[in-house]
Amino acid sequence: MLKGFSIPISRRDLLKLAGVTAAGAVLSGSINTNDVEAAEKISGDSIKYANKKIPVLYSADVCVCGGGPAGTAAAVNAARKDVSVVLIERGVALGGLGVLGCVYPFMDTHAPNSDTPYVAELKQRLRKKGIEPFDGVTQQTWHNPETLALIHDEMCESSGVNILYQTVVVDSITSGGKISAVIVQTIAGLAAVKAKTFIDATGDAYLARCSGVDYERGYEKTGNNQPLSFRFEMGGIDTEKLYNYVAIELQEDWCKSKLPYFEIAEAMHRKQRYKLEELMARGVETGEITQDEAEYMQGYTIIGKNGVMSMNCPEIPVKFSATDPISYSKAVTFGRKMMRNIARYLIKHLPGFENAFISREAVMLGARESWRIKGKYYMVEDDYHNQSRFVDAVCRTAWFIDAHGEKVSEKLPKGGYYEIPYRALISDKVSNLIVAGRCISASFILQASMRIQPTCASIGEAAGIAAAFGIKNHVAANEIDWAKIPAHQRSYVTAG
Amino acid sequence: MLKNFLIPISRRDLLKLAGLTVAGSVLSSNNSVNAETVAPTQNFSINAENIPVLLRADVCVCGGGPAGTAAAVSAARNGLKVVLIEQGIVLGGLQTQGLVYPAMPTRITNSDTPYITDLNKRFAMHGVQVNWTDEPEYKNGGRAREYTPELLAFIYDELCADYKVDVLYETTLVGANVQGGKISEAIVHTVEGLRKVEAKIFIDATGDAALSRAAGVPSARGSDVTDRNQKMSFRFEMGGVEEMKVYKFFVKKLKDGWCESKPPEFEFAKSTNTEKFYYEGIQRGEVTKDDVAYIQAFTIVGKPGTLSMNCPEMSPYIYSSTNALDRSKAIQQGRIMIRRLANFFRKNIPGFKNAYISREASMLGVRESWRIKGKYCMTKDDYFNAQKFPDAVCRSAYPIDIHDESLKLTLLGKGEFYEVPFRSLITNEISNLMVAGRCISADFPAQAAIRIQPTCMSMGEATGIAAAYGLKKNIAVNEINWAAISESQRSYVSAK
Ligand SMILES: Cc1cc2nc3c(=O)[nH]c(=O)nc-3n(C[C@H](O)[C@H](O)[C@H](O)COP(=O)(O)OP(=O)(O)OC[C@H]3O[C@@H](n4cnc5c(N)ncnc54)[C@H](O)[C@@H]3O)c2cc1C
Ligand SMILES: Cc1cc2nc3c(=O)[nH]c(=O)nc-3n(C[C@H](O)[C@H](O)[C@H](O)COP(=O)(O)OP(=O)(O)OC[C@H]3O[C@@H](n4cnc5c(N)ncnc54)[C@H](O)[C@@H]3O)c2cc1C
Repeated sequence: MLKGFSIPISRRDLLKLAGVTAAGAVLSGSINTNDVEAAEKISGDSIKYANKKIPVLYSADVCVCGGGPAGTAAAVNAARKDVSVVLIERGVALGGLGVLGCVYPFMDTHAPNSDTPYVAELKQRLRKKGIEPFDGVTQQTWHNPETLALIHDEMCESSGVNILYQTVVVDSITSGGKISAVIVQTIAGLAAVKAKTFIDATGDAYLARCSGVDYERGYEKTGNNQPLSFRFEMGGIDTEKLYNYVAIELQEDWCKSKLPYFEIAEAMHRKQRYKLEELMARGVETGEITQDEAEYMQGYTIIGKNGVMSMNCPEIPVKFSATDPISYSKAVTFGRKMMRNIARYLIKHLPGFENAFISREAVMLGARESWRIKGKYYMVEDDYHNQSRFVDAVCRTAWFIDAHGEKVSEKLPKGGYYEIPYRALISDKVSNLIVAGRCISASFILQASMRIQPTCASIGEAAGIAAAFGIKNHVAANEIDWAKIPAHQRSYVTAG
Repeated sequence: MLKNFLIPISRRDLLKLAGLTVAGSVLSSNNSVNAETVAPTQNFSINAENIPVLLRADVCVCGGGPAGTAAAVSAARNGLKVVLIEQGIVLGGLQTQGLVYPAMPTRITNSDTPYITDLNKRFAMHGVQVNWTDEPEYKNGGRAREYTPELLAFIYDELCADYKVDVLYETTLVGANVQGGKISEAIVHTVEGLRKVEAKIFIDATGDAALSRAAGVPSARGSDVTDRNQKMSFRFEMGGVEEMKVYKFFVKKLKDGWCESKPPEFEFAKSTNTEKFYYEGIQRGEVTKDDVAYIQAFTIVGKPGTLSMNCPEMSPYIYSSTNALDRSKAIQQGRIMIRRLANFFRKNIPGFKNAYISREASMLGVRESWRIKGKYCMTKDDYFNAQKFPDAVCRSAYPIDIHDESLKLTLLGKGEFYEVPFRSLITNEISNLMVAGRCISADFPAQAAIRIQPTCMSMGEATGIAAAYGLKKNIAVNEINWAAISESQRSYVSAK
């Protein structure tokens, strides 16, 4: 049998393990899990969790939880600094919302020279695969989700990241302000992954929350999270016909670029008035769609998928919460119904959509915001308006504050931007944890600006570099001074 | 807050529930309850005492594939309060997340159980002609299958809403609390953290027997002969395909007689007449032998220009479906194989010139992983003897279909069929557990026959009926004699 990394377990070990399971079952309050199966694959190391032994799948320098734009960047960049890395992802593709959630394209940071080396590399790799990300006008990154997933796999492969797919982080073992292991559910049962430094890139601050880091959720004024969306793709669209109708007949000048880079949009909550608003409003009058379905509709052509558009809708009413599992489940069903209605309506009434069909639904609900940690530095709205700079800045961005329904800010003046400090990625509570992506330490309003994919990727990149630096120099992750890392090793150096 | 399906349990109900638990423990002879206190662990910890209860129900179904969805709907139709736990955000399991399309027919008349007849009707209500299952004269390619995986997902949501099944999406089963031979609660991972779901009866429809294994039910995996699991596939869809050109190429040019129908209902596969075509691709270095070990593609009638690819298959020597690390590696390998195949098709099949990968599966294609050892184990002799059982829950004539090194199908004689007994869905160990779908108690070859979607659905349907019957008559589900349920209530009555 050819099984690279499976180390056969001896009969004796198996019995020992089985014994443990049986004992576990006897204890009241302990949980049975199917760990005997998983244990066969392992080096023999195990830890005690919920009163029973569970196998350790990996012992690594760095363990990254969540493989979205932030987590993938973190894993690849840590591995490139020669530390061993495990990346845990519950889906079967890397890219998080960008791949699993059908979120497309990467938004423009609106900040000059904001591309950190990793982000620049991503664009270059897309180009090499025949996907030109530059539309000639804007700084949005148009891509192709399937190609992006492949690129992520390739980058992990070449840098030596061990990916654990279809694996869910469910808990951590933390004591004395230090995480020693995360507990994961694999297809074979519960297991543990040990590491020196952990990076929480789950988007939901899951690891931080289960390790005792302070956190908050939603808007302090309303208690609501940002609205969820259930994104999807439609195929069979005659994009030329659509372009002629929207750009020429309706004279909508919202989209600055030309085919194959084309976007249609309509957002009733914004100040901007879009030409397609009328079409959607008519649907509400005739009863074909609801007001909720008409509120927000947006679609982008996907490069390399002729006739396919990525739909940035439906936006699910805010009474559904991104932080309540029951409400969240209801949002899926509700959103799927909205999606059908919107698709049916567009097929019937939008020129170019006559033969269109739903070609793909997201496999992850679009949570813009759920939980955010409270770290060493807490970013606030003023950091945006004041264009704050930080000595320990890890990236810059100027994407406007886009808190759907609550607040949409003006753009910063041309050339303006703010920076994100490393201290927003770490906390006082857990020494070996770095948080990256949309769940860093920021207020609800500020997060609505920093959450876009290129910014999340740059944050992840810095987290990966810092994790490796800390391990090599024996500095706890939450004691690292990003400004003290030699400038050539940093992915971003503050402009001061 | 929107928690309309959290119905607080009354003190009386709680006592009733507790009473049932005690009764259950009396029925079961193993597992004595030994009360011992457990050291408190972390906040999120799996330590049963600390985990909040999320929901309570009569029945908790784990896994929302074809089997689990049928089980949940059927139980709810029979008046029970049902929670359905699904780790993805869509029901249908391999049908939707795995892009397994279309459902294979049972190849025997009168195999449609009421749930399936109803599903056909639901499709008709959406203006779509579908004949799910009982086609005796199976022809490759052609039959009524106008549905798309996305429509199926929508219909499943509709069914669950109509019958008030509470679906918990993005929720992963991680363990079970077993007391006195009964599962008292399932431990699940949600975005919020670990939670408990309490129920009187549990149905394991995870495909991987995850709940049963967690509850200590013995299981088997792979072939007794080779020790290997069936091959896994990573399925995908391609859009932008000109189907008539593809048809002409295979049927007219390569003289392939594989498919007996024309577009829009068309399929191609690696067959005797087309083997050379693939062999030459290997010679030219465009694909590997593994890439083309098995090739099959179906048009999706509801998605014009889109083909569902039943490939690639990953080598069973390297990747096992019961090893967590293997599954992760198989995903990465599969994604590379998908690219090579897509390029090969584009280059060599007229009609694929402008084709693109329109989506990849969000769940690996696992044909077989773990199978429980239940009260009755179906064997290949049952298949060859066309065995009937007084407690049969469904019938099928689908052949033993083992994907390994090579594929060999042995068909039953015309009009012959076998049945699946209820006893294959229950265990000796756990009194309140039923298992449905591809992980029921069957040997490796028998599982390879009973694993198709309609059969999995019929099994699920039967467990829902049995759950209601058991609760009403106060009989533990693993003591139920299906034959004793009145014929009018049964979804299937044996032909015996
Ligand atoms: C509807 C919508 C539209 C948007 N539009 C745009 C846009 O046009 N352009 C743009 O640039 N940005 C957009 N954004 C924002 C952007 O997509 C996200 O903020 C960004 O993807 C966040 O990256 P992340 O890595 O922090 O988290 P995510 O992308 O959420 O990734 C988190 C990853 O962690 C995994 N994970 C989570 N929990 C666990 C666990 N317990 N165990 C294992 N794995 C886990 C998830 O599966 C996922 O892969 C949009 C967001 C939404 C919701
Ligand atoms: C490549 C391939 C091709 C096939 N071709 C065909 C075909 O052409 N026609 C046909 O009829 N059949 C085909 N089959 C077989 C058929 O699709 C499956 O056997 C059938 O879907 C099994 O149904 P199920 O409900 O038992 O499990 P699944 O479909 O596997 O569903 C299991 C569900 O449980 C969920 N789940 C698993 N673990 C957990 C957990 N811990 N917590 C929460 N949820 C969980 C999963 O997300 C999934 O939704 C094929 C299978 C494969 C792999």
